[in-house]
This record gives sequence, C-alpha cells and structure tokens, in this order.
Amino acid sequence: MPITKQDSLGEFEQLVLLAVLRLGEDAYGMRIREEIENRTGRSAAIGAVYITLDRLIAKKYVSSFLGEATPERGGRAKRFYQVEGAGMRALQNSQLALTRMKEGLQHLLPEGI
Amino acid sequence: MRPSRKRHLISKLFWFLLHVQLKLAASRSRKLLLRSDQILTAPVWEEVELWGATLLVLNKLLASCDSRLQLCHLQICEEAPVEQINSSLAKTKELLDEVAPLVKNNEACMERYTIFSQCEIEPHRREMAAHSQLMDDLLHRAQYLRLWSTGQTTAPALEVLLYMFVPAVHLQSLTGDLQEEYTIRQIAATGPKAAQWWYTKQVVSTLWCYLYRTIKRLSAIAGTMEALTRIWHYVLRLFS
Repeated sequence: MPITKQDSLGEFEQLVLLAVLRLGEDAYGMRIREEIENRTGRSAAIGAVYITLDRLIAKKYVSSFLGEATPERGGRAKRFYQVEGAGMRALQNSQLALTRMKEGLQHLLPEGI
Repeated sequence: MRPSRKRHLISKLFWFLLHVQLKLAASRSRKLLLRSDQILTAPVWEEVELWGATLLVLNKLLASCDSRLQLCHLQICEEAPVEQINSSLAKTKELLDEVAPLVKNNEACMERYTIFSQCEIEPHRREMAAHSQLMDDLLHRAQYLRLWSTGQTTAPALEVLLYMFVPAVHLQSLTGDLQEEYTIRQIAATGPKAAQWWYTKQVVSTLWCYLYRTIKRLSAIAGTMEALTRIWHYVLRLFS
C-alpha cells in the first residue's frame, strides 16, 4: 500500500501521538511533555507540545475535550487529548515507511536500530 | 493579596495594549454592523418578501390543482351538466393564468436569493463569526490579566507574557499546566529559585515556539505572493 503525503508524520508529531497513546485517559499538555522528556531525554517546551497537538487536531488525528477546573491550576481546566482512528493509521503508516526504508540495511546500520 | 508596584505598572502597560486591541475590534464591529445594515436593507429583500409570499402562491397552486381535479371529476361524470363543466373549466383556466407568472417570478427570486446568500450573506456571516471569536479571545485575555494584576495567581510574574502572546485557544490549558507543574512539582522538587528558573525557561521557549510558527506562516504567505508575482510577470511578457 503506498503511503501518501497526508499520512506522513513528522518526528515530533510521532512522539506526541505515541505519548498520548501511552498516557491514555491522563493525556494532557504537561504530562505529554514529561512523557516525551522522560522517555527520549529530549527537552520539549510546553508550547511546542501544544502547537503540535493543534496541528494533529487539524489533521483529525487527535481530539480533545476540557476537563474540570482545579484550584492548584488557578481555577483553569485541563485539556485532555485522545488519538483517533486516523491518527492510529498515520502512526502505523509512518512506522511502516521506516521499516521499509531500513530493509536490507541492517549491515550498514549500528546495532539496535 | 496586594499586588506589588512593579506588577501594577506592568499590568497598566498590558491593559493599554488590550485597550488598543479593543478599540480596533470596536471599530471593526461598527464596520460589520454597517455591513449588516446594508445587507438587511438590500433591494433583494423586497424580492425575498415577494418570495415570502410563497405561501400565497402555493395556495393558489393548490386551488388550481383542486379546480383541475373537480374538472376531471365533472368530465368523467356522465350526469354532470355542461354549464357546470364549462364554468369549472373557466375557473381553472383563470387560476392557472394567475399562478403561472407568480411561479415564474418566484423561481427567479429564489435564484437571485441563492446568489445573494452565497456572495453576500455567507461571507458576512463567516466574518462575523471570526470577529466574535476575536472578541471572546480579548475577553479571555482581559479576565486573566485582571487575575494577574490583582495578585490572584500564584504563578510567577512572567505569566503575563503568556496572556498577551499565546493564542486564546491554548491559554487556559497552557497557563494552568504551567502553574500546576510549578506550584506542585517544581517548587517541591528543586526549590523556589530553580522552579522560578524552570518557569522562565518554559515561558521563553513557549513564546519562541509561537513566534516561530507565526514567522513560518508569514513566510509561506510571502512565498505565495512571490510566486504569484512571477506568474503575473510571465503573463505580462506573454502578451506584450
């Protein structure tokens, strides 16, 4: 199956999508940022996470809903995110593309990749 | 909590900026209202009013149908007197003559109304919706700025920059996330000074992200404009 341009995901988009998947019902901005930082060791600004989520929402890969406001957040509500079917497919296609590109290159690539 | 003098002065500056934005928005509102008035007083509405009399046309159409039905009944009824058939025929013809121009006029009105709706009403409605979104955004920013300027937020002073420059759609969740992380985790884990530094880094990098996105969008517009200019020059050269 050919992979179209619309299905392709950037590297950070993939990280955000995977973090949202991993966090499940607890996927909101700061937790997603932490998850990426803890797992990849790469520091990410909260703004970068929100901009990426915005882009993923526009592509209909992710949907969001507002939670309840809490006093420790200064009475501001959390926005929770969840991966949609299209997001799953895009993620699958991106992984597939990477696997196909790596085929036959095992002897050239360092171990573990 | 009494806000510090520094906070008071900074909030004055941001109130001024919001005030300027509100002034601009108000002038836009006036223009949009004027446009609404123009649309509502457009000559097409007279035609639409005429079109609004569709009920009458439909009634007449129904009456003509009724009349034709009666005529049919009379036609197939052997005992029906000829005078009755003739009078029914005349009445039906009269009704059909009356209805025909009305229906024609009606169709033309509907056609014109569709064009008017697509060209005038729809774009105006979209513009109004975007404008009302902008007004909501300004209102949100003003609400947050009020909280900040009266010292009702426990987040560092730098938070005010987020109120001004982060898109309103992210404002609530982003500032809430930062405040939660700062007050609950960072202060407890690293102490107030390090937590303050962490917060500053987050605000600066977040603002940079939004600025970078704006620059990218503007450069995309600039790129499109350049391409269009090139095409225009090419077309001019072709015809010169």
